[in-house]
Amino acid sequence: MYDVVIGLEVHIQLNTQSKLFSGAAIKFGQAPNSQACAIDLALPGVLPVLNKEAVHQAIKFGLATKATINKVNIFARKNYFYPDLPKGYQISQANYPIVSDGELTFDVNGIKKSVHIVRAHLEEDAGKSIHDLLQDYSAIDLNRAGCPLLEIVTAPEFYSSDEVIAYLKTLHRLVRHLNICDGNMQEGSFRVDVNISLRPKDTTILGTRCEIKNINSFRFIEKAIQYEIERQGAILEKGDKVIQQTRLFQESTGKTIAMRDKEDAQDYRYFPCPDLFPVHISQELLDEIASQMPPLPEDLLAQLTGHYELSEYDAQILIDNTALLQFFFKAIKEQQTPSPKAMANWLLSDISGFANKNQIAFEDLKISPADIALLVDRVNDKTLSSKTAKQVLTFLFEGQTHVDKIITDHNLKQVSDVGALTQAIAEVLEQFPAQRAELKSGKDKLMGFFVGQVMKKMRGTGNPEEVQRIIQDLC
Amino acid sequence: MTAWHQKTLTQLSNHLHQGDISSTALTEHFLNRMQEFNPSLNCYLAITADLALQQAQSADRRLKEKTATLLTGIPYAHKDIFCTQGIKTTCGSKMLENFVAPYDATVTKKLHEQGLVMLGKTNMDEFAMGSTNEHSYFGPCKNPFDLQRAPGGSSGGSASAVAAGLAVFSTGSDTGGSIRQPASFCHLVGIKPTYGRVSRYGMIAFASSLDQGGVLSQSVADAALVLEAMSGHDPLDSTSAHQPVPQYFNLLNNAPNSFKVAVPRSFFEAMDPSSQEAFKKVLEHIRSIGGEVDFIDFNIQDIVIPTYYIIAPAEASSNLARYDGVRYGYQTPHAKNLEDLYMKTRGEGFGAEVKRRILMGTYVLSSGYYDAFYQKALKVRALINSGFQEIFKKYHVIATPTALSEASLLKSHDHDPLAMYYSDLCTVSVNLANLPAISLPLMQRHGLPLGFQLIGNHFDELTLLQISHKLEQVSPWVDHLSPIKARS
Amino acid sequence: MSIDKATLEKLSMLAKIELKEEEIPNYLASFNKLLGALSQLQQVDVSTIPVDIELHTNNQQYLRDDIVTEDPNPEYFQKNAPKTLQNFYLVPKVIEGDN
Repeated sequence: MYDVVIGLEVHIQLNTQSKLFSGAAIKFGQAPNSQACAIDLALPGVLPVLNKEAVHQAIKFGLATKATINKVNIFARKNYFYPDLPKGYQISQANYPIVSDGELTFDVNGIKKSVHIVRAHLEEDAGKSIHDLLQDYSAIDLNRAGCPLLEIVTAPEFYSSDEVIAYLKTLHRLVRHLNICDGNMQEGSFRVDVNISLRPKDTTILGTRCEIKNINSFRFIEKAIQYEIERQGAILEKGDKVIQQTRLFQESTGKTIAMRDKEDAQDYRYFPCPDLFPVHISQELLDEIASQMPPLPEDLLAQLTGHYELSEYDAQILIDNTALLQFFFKAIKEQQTPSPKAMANWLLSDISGFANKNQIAFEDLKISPADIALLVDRVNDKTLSSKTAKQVLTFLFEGQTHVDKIITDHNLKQVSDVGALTQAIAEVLEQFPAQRAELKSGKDKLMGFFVGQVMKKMRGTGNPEEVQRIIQDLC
Repeated sequence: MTAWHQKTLTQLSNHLHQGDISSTALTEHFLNRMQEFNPSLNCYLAITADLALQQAQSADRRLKEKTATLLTGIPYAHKDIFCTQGIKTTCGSKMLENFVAPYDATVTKKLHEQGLVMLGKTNMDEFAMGSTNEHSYFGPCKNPFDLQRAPGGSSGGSASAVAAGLAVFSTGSDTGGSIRQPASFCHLVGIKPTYGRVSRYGMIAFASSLDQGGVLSQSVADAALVLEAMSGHDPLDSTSAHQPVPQYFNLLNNAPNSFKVAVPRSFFEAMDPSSQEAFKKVLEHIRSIGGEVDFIDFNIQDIVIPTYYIIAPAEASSNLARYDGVRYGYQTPHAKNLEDLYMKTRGEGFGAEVKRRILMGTYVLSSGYYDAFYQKALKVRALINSGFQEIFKKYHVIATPTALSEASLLKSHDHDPLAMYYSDLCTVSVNLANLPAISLPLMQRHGLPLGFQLIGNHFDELTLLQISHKLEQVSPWVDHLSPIKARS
Repeated sequence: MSIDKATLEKLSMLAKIELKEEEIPNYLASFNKLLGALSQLQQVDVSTIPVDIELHTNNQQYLRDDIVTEDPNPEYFQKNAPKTLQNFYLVPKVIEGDN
């Protein structure tokens, strides 16, 4: 009977060192009010000064979404009273935002969809109110007040929660890729407001919408949308009207609840902030930022899955990790014969695995692209088996350099010489006569056992395929 | 005993550098006078005697070591709108009655770097909203020329202090005339520079696009010297201009040999006949120093007050939203909940005039009225601006009276705020157009001081000061003292 | 042009300024007197001024470098604060959704 129509507003906290209008730091989880300077506290007489990097990051977003960068844009004051808003107004952008008319394309269950990004504007964050510290008082922490946000608004063009989640995941990936947001939803770096309404199937007129604010996980967003569809549907079924209101998602119950109704709708009395001049963006600045932009995720995906033939899964992991991706490209370049698939495999399983296990960041590993390039080359040219290659890797992690030197020093060169292998194999076969008999009689499972024993005897340097072939010949 | 308080800044500077008197002795001289006369004038809200003597001692050291500037060691009064670290900064309001500023305004810093001696913080209309200083929470201030009269406002205390010989010069702020008009009523030079010339960081905001800090002094040279020290780009103020600061003081004597002066007919005709005569006499002096005077048509008189009284209250309503009793300032003792905290703190902490303007500002910004009022006012402001620019294509300066009448009697505006607003007619257009202007004590009305205003083009303070300086030499005024100042 | 008591009360709510019942007539009177004067602007012809006047200025916003310059000490700033606890500012309890 009804179609759901959804529009999204996402607030991302930009990846700057200092706040949008003051020189205080923006680290998460610091002692209360230890990052609230005079400007953030709205002391009498203080004034805002705009952070250059925040402007640059907003421009990056605009370029990445093929949007219009408004060469003259203006900050406006949004006036209302709340304890976490020290000035009694938020400096935001109203009629003249920095970015407008962009688009984001994403994949929903194999089908490509594009959504119109109506605008993205800069604004400062509010502080935090903590209501459960004391019985009669709310506690206000202004560390977050003044942190730089980019609010990204889409047109109401989503028609399912699958589309919403796919968009959000793509957006999340993009802003992290551009290095303008760390995407940490638990810390509030990526907050989603969902505007949702139901529309009868036979009309184009949008129904009354409700706004569900500040949901900070994809799972909860799905739940909230589902609940809202049911809630609004039930109201409309009864023949009643949906009330336009702001709602919050209640994690414990999976329901959305209405925020306290105000007798009068808030009148924010937007007007241009007279403490700031219009922001002028030159073509030179745009060109400079454009030239420094990393390739976009969608373009990288095409390149990695096409030209380099990686699986989409592997490609996505590389795209999401810039350090890993850069390393991948550099290493392939250094190889004698590039083998992207093998390279990706080594990076994503053994190397990343080691990093994760030992809780080291990938960037801090003591390996260079040249090292890994040579490692993979040596596997390709059969100097190393996968087993011995792993041993070489261990030495590289410890800080030893140059693959070939490690191979020589530790005698890891793969032995393919038939004579040498046969010798070792013969010794092992003699050691385990009972198992030899079983293998001979057809218990193929024991092949693994014997190959393992031979490899053990040869300290991993035996060429496993050759070992297996020779054992077969001998039995 | 020498009447040091009857000497100008430049005269005292010479004395200090020549060793005729120490800064410490000079400071004590003023502190003693303040003790005697401030109770009846109420021009100082705070007398910072200890700090002043400390600063005087440092100044004396610098004078001895020959590292002093022309301003070092000179005692001055600082309007209580400027934040002074560790010292109460009340802005004339109950809201900030006990607020000890945790930082210095840029202007405060700049003046202290010169080695100036701050005698105290001066009385003012609450949050700079008013023209008589009667809207101060701390009681009215008296005009030293007539204790039944107001000194003007909002920099009333600053004007009164200098006119009474309780400071060599004072700082002020001017949003619609708040330096020039009290200077006019107290026989002082008052200069408001171009918008952006002086940093607003730490100068408690009333109307952000109109406010400017400036000087009230006894002579033009004094004003030039202090203004030069106060001016300059401040990275902490986004609206602060990157224009270099000319050597206002050193170049004072380089006035152009001939210059063109425009007198808007409507402002001239708004004066009464005797004031028009006094004005014409000044025009004679101007001609004698090379000025060519033209009466012109510039009919903005009906639109400046409405434009100003839309823009200023609008910005004020937003700027004063931070006064909510949460992080500093007055907090109501009667709050049962958050709503109460806001409503009662602000209802009790602000005076009537401030509340009136906040409400008006809220109205003109509100949904449904924004276009007709605020947006319209922005456009009319642009119109006024371009009108001035047309004049400056042909003229160097514009001459008007500073105010149409002399200082008002105390309590005379009590029932008619609107009448008070209209008295700002000659001054507000200057702020709307972001221009510099100076008031010179060249006229009288009914035996009381009346100011003559010269308006210059953007960042052309130098021409204003040069012409004013020349004018002062042919028509000196320093000898006309208030009764209190005349007392040694 | 004038406003009524209900409008004044709405403004009082928006501006968070409590007006006592006995003050209201005075405020209304002076408000409406001023409003009469302000309404004169309606007649002014601004057709020569661009509609998006805010954009038309030579002044450009200065951009500051993104470096941390402040290391605030909450105790220092809270010397003026009416009520604090463990460096938090305290206000009467807010029920979520009061915004």
